[in-house]
Amino acid sequence: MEGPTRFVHPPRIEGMEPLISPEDWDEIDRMFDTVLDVPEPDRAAFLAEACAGRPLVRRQVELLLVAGDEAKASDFLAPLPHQLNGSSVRQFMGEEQLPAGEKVGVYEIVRPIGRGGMGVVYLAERPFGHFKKPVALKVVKRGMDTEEIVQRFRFERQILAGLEHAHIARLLDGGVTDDGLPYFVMEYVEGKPIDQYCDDKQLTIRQRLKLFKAVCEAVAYAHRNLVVHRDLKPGNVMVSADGEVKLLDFGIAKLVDPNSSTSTVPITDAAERRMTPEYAAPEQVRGEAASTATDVYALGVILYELLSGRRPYRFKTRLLTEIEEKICQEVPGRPSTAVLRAEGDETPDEIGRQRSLSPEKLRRVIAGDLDAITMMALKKEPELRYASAGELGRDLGRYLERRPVRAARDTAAYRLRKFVERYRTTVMVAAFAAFTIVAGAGTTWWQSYEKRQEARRVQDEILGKNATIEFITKIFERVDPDRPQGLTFTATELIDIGLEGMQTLDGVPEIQAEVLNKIGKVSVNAGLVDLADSLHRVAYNIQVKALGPNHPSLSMTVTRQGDVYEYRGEDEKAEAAYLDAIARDPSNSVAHNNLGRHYVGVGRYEEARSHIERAIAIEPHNTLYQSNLGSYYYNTIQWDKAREIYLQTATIDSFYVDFANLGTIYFYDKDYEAAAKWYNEALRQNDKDYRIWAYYGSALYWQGETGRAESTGPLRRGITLAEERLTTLGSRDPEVLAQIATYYALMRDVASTRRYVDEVLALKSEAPFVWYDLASAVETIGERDEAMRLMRIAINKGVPAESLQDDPGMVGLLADPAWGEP
Amino acid sequence: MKKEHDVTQVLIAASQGNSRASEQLWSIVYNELRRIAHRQLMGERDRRLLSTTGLVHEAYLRLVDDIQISWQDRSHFFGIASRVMRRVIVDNARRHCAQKRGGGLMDESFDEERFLPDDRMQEVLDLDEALSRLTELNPRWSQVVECRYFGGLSEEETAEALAVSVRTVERDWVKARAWLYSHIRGEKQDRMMNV
Repeated sequence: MEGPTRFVHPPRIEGMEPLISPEDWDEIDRMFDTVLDVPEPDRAAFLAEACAGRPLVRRQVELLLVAGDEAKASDFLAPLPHQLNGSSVRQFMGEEQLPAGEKVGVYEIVRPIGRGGMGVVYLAERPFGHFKKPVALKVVKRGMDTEEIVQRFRFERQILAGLEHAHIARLLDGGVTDDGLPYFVMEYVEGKPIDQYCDDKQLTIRQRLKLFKAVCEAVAYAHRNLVVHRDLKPGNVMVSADGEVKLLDFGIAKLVDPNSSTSTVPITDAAERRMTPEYAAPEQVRGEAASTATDVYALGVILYELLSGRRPYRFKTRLLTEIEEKICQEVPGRPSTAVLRAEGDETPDEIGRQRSLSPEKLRRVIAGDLDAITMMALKKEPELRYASAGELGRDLGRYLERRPVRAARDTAAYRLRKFVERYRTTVMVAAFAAFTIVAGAGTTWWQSYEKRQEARRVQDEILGKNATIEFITKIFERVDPDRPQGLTFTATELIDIGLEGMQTLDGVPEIQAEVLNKIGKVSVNAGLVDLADSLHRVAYNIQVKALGPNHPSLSMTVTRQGDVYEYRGEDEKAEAAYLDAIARDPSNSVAHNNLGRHYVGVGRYEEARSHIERAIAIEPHNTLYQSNLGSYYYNTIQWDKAREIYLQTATIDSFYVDFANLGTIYFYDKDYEAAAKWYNEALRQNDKDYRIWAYYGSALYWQGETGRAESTGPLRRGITLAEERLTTLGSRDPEVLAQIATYYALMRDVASTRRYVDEVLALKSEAPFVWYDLASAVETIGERDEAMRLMRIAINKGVPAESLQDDPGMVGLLADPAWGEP
Repeated sequence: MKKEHDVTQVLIAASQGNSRASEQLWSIVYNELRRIAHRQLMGERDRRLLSTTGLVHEAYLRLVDDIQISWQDRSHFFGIASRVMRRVIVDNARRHCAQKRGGGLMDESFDEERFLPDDRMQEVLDLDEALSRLTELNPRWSQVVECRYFGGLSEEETAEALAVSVRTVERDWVKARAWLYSHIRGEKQDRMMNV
């Protein structure tokens, strides 16, 4: 229809038979065109010269010029009455257009700047005194349920107004026009659609990806705020002249989507499927609910386009059945192959040029990771796509950093390749070694045994590294900053995550065992002792099977098992395990340290010191070992040495135990305010340890009257946590019970104190400090005679007599003449 | 509804060059546009609000949303609608002129409102005839006039509808207007041109 001028037959006018050939007409047309560009006074002269020898052409052009002037002067073809002129067609198209200057609410229409399935978007202005602020005003076209939209707008407005992101155009206002059409007012964004921007600027693939990553991040932000876009397409992803991304229409689609309403009004099929088919996800085409995965899909289409210059699907018709079939069933070609496809307006060369690459080079750049990322976003099943836009963006980030991308994680070959890419030089050697192993199978005659052993070692290392990378990747997949609670995980969650990734380590038993041990450690700290127990046993079995029963690697597993015993209070088993671990590997500093710590706990101080010092000798800068040495000094009442160590370790590593012990040191120095300060510091890191609460309470208690009032809360908290601890232990541990007795005593709860004291007495404990605590408790509630009796037992069992000197609770007892007597 | 489905099929067939389908589409759009134009002129602003949902839904939304006309197709459709609008207006004028002369038959069941004052009715009929001749000579010129004059499209919209540049639309408009003027007015004056 728009082809070149075609001569059908000469138009006949009242008997005249002009003979104008198609060539003549073409010439007249061209000449007319040319002369229109010539200034009016010069036209006659120009025609005389240009049409020399062509009187027919000249005559016709002259006539046209005169007619043109007259037509203009007489207002020929003036617009038809407004009702007919366009507005009928527009109304038929559902696209009535507001004239410039028209007021919509407080806004004044400037001009239309776009149209979409939903209606017309105008540039409008909001007057503010002397200046006018430009805004984008979108009027929803007729035929959509106004009332519903307005209602939904009221409901959603808060959420949408709360979307504050540098890359998301803000929704500013909304209302209903005088004609009863809903409208939305948005931040006006001057820019180009992202695809056009990229092509115009001839951005490289990496530049495109960086830009697109910003888009993903903005979408992820909206998703975190529970807003799904539903209609992402290049036209809604604008890039300003200075390269800033801005997303338009966030949340708007939902407002006009009858599906999202709570109304029971029946919806027509047509209205339900209001979307742009090129970017519509299968679930949208099927009329199902849109979710964040729907946006991920649309992002996938945009990515596909930015990379390849093509769209995943081309529709021959616009028949819904065709669209549905293609989108829901057909697996699109990969973007890398799409580049070379001959289709549409753009040749592969043009597409390549827009990306500063040859088509073949472009294909190679996209093939692999970028294909995989795109195809993952375009999965038919929402649950197989990236779980969020943030994940898609992060995978692109990984690609940009040349790290393994999640989308391509399926194959071992891929992992190996990625590993090689990152450590090209190191791995070249290893790869050669690996090759020689394979080659060596048939040609062992030239290869010495040692050489093969070395090669095998290197190969195993690669395998281990890969598996570890994958395992860690797996963990980080789960560590999704988009989750509502951010990066905070409960220990149980971490354990779950770790165990989930365990099978990726199947080929590398050493690493698997190590990871199991680590998870076991986390489990112990989380109080999941039984789980830890079985994890260590599994790790132990794996190692025995892979390395034999005498391998030094088993030492750490045994150490961790010792921790389990210690936590359970199985002192002998714990000691045996630590000793076993040391025997398996004398350089296992952790085993030395833990054994030392264990000995401190059971009062075997000299053995404790020797093991802790061994640990420190092996690993001099380990603050944990240092801090345990502090505990040794602390428990042997060498306050100054203990304080010196603690003040150091506390500032380096801020162990709460060190803070707590520092508190106790100050406590015995009778500086109760400093003590309370350190205890408080300890509680800020760990408010789950009953002892610290109780110590804090007693530090407050001894500060005087005001402190005494404040002490009840912490003491009570201490008692609650101590009871919980007893439940966890599953036994009535006399140590804990005796401590609880002292807390009740400080609270002046005589009955409870007595009850706990009696319970402990019945248990006949051998631990010296249990007796000390009992003495302290009854002394506090005023039973001096019994206090003295119990304290004598304590000293008899090993409590240093001088430790009473520093205990404020013992002042009265020490001053009692009866104490002085033997 | 059967009719809905038909419209979809018809539009697709028409876009694939099926001429019978084009005819059908034509009549669907024709009737719809005539109704809208008619209602527009009756100035039923309030009732329009109540009724257009139904009307526009029936025709446009069914056409556009069922099959999801893309932006390109929309533009193209604007062009089609402009041509249909030409027919709507011209037919209206023709009927009223015939009626005035006392000979014509109203072939429609409803009593049709006049779309235009008398003098403009004649202008439209003359233009229609001249446009038919122009189409033979240069179809694009006549399309530009259709879009701008009958469709009421802006230069930009016309450019989109015809897939040409805005500059081309501007130039075609000037040239077509000159040509049409010489043929309509020229006939009555001194027959300036004999193309």
